[in-house]
Amino acid sequence: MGFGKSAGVVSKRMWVTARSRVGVLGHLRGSRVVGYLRRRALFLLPQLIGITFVTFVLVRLLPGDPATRILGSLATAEQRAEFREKLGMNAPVWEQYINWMRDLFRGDLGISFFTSHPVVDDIRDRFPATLELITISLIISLLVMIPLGILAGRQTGGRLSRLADRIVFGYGLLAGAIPDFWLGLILLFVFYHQLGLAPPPLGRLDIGIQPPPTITGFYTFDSLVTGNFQAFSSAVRHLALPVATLVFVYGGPILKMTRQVMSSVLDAPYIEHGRTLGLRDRTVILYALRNSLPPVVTITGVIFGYLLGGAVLVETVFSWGGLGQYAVQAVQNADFTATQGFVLVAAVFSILVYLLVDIAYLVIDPRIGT
Amino acid sequence: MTYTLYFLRKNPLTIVGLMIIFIDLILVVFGPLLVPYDPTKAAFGDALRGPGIAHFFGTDHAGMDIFSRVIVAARLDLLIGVLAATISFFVGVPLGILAGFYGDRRGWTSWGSELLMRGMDVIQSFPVFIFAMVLVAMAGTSVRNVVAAVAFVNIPIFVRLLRSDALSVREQPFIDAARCAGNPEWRIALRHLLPNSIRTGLIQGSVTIGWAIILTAGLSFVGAGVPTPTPEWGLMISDGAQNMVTGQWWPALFPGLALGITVFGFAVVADSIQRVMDPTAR
Repeated sequence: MGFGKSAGVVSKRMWVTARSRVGVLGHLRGSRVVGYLRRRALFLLPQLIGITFVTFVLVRLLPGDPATRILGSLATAEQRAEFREKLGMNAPVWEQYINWMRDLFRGDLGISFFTSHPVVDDIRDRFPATLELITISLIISLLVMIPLGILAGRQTGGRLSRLADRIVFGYGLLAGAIPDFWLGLILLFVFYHQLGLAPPPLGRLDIGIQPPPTITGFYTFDSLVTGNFQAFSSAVRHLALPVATLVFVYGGPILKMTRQVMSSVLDAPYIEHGRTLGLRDRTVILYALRNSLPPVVTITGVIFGYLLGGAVLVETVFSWGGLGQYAVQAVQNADFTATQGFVLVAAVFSILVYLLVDIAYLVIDPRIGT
Repeated sequence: MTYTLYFLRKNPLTIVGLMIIFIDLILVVFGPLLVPYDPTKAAFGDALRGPGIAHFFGTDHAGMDIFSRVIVAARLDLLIGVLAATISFFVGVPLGILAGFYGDRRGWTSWGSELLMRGMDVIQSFPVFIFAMVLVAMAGTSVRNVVAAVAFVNIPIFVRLLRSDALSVREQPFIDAARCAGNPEWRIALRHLLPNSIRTGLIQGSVTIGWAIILTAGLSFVGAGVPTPTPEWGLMISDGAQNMVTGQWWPALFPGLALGITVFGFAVVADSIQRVMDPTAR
């Protein structure tokens, strides 16, 4: 959002230059974004504090004693007491919360019992794997589903368009009914076991292939940039099935939304006006698309936020080694520092996504926020 | 009523959806009486038999009959789904109505409404599945905790929907009329606002049942659901997952199909209810 940041502080003349430079987004008043962010920050801070509070309560105050869970039921009372003392769990709850918050500000989420690494390092190592998976899935979903949605939303009244409409409707219901992890297993059976086309579900690269040097942590991107085509093709092959699973299940809502909004926008008087003026069909569709975008952006944002958690299941199926799988292990091993860290990161991540969605709104629709 | 019949004739898919739910209900009531084997009895000598006459859907890695387990599991999965959706409905709808009725006004009630909505914001910033998973894992895996967790994560959706609905309904002239007639505020909220907003809640409720069943299955899949060897679709898929890679497709396929068909049925019916109850769509 570089153009937004600069525009708020610099002189009007510079803004005009900046404005011509951003082209399509030229109508955007940068100050709107800055002003909006400033107002938004007012709500964001209490929300973040709320999140830390809920995260803390969730993991520390629910029934179930971490000492018993981690040491096992055979541990003696003294061992448990010692363990609790070591974790600072004998202090009053509010004091524990303050201590935890203090560590949090230092960027310290504690040590994972299971991996015995700092939770922050664990999360940093695994985050790109998950982010690559869900980002690529979403990009492909958008590329496939938006054109399909436009096609189905046009409703020219012909037999073909009605058929397309029916198929989209049925697919939307089907996609919402299929559990993603089950679909992943079915794809695995067909493409790995039966056809032998897909690699075994054991992570992001074939065994024996060195991961590319970390630039972004996205194996596809990093290997392409460093010219390591062997790693690139391996990474793409491993991505294929989990991405197909996520696209099928989570592309459904995007398709449904695009179709619905497109068909109602195309009914609007200004579209008819454009048509009577003799505009080409393509031009009219582009106008309609622009006006259909906000709800589509919203649903995409919601899915992106959901997927960080929702991909947990698909990650488990494909042993992806990402954040989701880490979270499942943490939960299964009663590793509560890791659980806490993950829950916090996931919540903060989805807040950031929603913030980006709101900013995208400002960019798309000049009427908002003035 | 006539319109409903007309609608059914024009939308055969709705009839399919209703039939799915009807069959599910039969399984819920009579399930355990209909099955040929004890759904939790392991017979290791019969492990991983393919589908055939003796075992319609084959057997799993412990030799348990998959057909029997799929049938019996309907009771638990639907119970969890319906119960969780009902709880979120009965908590979320009144909260949403109150938040919408008292929101953006003067006085402490408005503050309460604002506080509630900000609380919902906080809950909704946690990814749904993660939140439910951690809730169950921390509170202990049991049916009761799964229901509680699934219900809890769905409450904010009801609150939000009903609030925005109530915000627009309360501006209608008949609300002012009710106020002029001397009705106290609580009565306006209860007798005039609630019946006009309840439709939104009912539609969301039927959507939530299917969604809750998927969520429950996912929880079992990662081991944060009901304990083994309870017959439950998600858990059965989880048990069959390793077999999938070695070529035994049946332990995971059938419970997933049962689950998918059930959720599909609820989704179709929810969509139909929405269209039948919306007078503008006629």
